[in-house]
Amino acid sequence: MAKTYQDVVTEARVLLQDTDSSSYRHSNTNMIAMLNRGLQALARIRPDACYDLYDDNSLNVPELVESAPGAGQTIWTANFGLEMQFFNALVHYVTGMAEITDDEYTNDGRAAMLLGQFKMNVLGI
Amino acid sequence: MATEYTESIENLLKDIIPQLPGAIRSVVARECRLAMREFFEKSLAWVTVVNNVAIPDGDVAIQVDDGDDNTEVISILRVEIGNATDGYQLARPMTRLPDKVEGTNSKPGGWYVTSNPDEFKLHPYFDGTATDDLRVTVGLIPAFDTAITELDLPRQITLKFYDAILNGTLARLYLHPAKPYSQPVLGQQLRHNFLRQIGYYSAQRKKGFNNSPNWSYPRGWNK
Repeated sequence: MAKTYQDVVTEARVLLQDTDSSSYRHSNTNMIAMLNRGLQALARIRPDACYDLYDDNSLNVPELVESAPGAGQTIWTANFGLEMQFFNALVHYVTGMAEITDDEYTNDGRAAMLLGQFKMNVLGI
Repeated sequence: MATEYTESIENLLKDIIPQLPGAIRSVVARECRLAMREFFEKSLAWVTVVNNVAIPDGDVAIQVDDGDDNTEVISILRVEIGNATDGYQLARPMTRLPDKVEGTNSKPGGWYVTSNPDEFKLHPYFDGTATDDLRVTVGLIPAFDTAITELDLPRQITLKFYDAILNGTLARLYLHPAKPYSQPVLGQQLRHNFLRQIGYYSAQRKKGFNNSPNWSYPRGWNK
């Protein structure tokens, strides 16, 4: 079964130990915002990641929303539109960014490691 | 001569992608297209003869189209003027038109100037309704919008030029900066190999792929 953008957030929540849907520590809104920034960062350092979405002289980086997508937006339950090699990297990015924002339970070293892992996954072997 | 379109870019990807960790398939396919275009444009290894090209009335550029959606004409190699009954005579290429451009209403003159990869003008141009036509030998490249899975590529891609196109594609990709598959030194080596192969097949093409001598009798001597 195809992965979705929501699955990126779901797998990041596992790493964050934030899987209780009745009381999320990190709201879906925040997680989606982090994922959008991750997609932008990915497009910056790997512009070919969005090659298949290229149209109208633009890379067309997906902008995800939780519901009611407007023009140019994608609902986060849509299929993951990039190659699967970038899925893991985005999970690391979202987890790392969530760690940075969470100053009560944060682990700075872990956050830096995860964000470094994101970069290494997309640029290295 | 007939061209059999039995190959696709997808056939080539199978040998290219395993050597490119982290590469995007669409990007690899695009570079493969560009490598093929560069190979055929520089080597002129793919030629065809276009018959019955009409001679226009007046000082008009003649654009040649081989009538095949899978190809683009990239070079005018040879222009012959005549007809099926009397035979054809070779026109001579010129770098530029002379200072005075003239017309003729008898047999069109025997020079031509190429103004674009697929366009040329006759000198003197023909003034009236021509009874002769042109036989034009052209160089071809694959059309740019060749789809990855469509069988739009000629069989000589895998029959003869496979290694050259693989080397050209890999060289282009290995020279991409800041990618997991970037290998600049290996890219330079493959680029060198690719250019050598272009020269090798260009030389073969000049001898007609059958080692024939590359000369012909001057005009009027072979009658």
